[in-house]
Amino acid sequence: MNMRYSSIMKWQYWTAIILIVVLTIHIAFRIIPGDYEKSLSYENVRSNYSNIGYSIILLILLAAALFHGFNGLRVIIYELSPRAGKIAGPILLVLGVIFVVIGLLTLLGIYIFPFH
Amino acid sequence: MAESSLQILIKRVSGWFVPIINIERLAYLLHRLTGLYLAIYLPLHIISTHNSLNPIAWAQEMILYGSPLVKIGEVILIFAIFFHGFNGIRLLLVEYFNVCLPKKMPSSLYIEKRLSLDNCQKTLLYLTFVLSIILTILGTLYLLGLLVLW
Repeated sequence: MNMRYSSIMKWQYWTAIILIVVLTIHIAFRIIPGDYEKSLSYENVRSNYSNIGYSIILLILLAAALFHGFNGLRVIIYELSPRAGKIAGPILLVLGVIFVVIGLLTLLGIYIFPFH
Repeated sequence: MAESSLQILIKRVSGWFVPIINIERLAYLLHRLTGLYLAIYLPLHIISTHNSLNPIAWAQEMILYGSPLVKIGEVILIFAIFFHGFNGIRLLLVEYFNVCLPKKMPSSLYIEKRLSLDNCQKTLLYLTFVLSIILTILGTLYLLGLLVLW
């Protein structure tokens, strides 16, 4: 049990390092157009997703952020109430998988639903 | 009289806030609060970006993004990202890579002066706050369209 817990916390640190890199790239893609509203235009967002390299970055960001965020949430809940933490763990795991699937569908959407 | 679960929970959460006696304690509190904010924001962001599959849904989404309440949420988000990120880097450097730790550990942390108050660690801590505040201001200006880069 301790071994498993320690391994999860190691991943918490590793995902933190990964997030620093991929989140910086994600923020850069909002800055590159030079104007925030322009960066959120439908055309710009869709063209971002059509960039395979950036889509892979987003996929890594999606998985790392969900693991780091939901595991952090689990730790906080566990510290407040160990019983609630044990219940929250599997729930957050299932939610994490669901959100990975939603994010994946968004990323693959460019191929499933080409430009309107 | 035995305390109820709710009373215990309130007592534990309020323990995060008191006593904020120094900047390190404030950093601990802000790291928790920004982490919680980001963990709640993340699923909402994933759902909202899913609307990019449909131009009409995305246009409606952009109207929502223009509302003052969402703008306030985005400013808090900018601070949360930068503070949680920079403080996370600081914690990784100190706890994982042993940066700013003395070469010779004192025999007792409680008898000798507190390690965390050493200059090197304090510099990292102040840097975390200064960088987060500067980048939040710049990010807010960019978000509000008051800073156009090129």
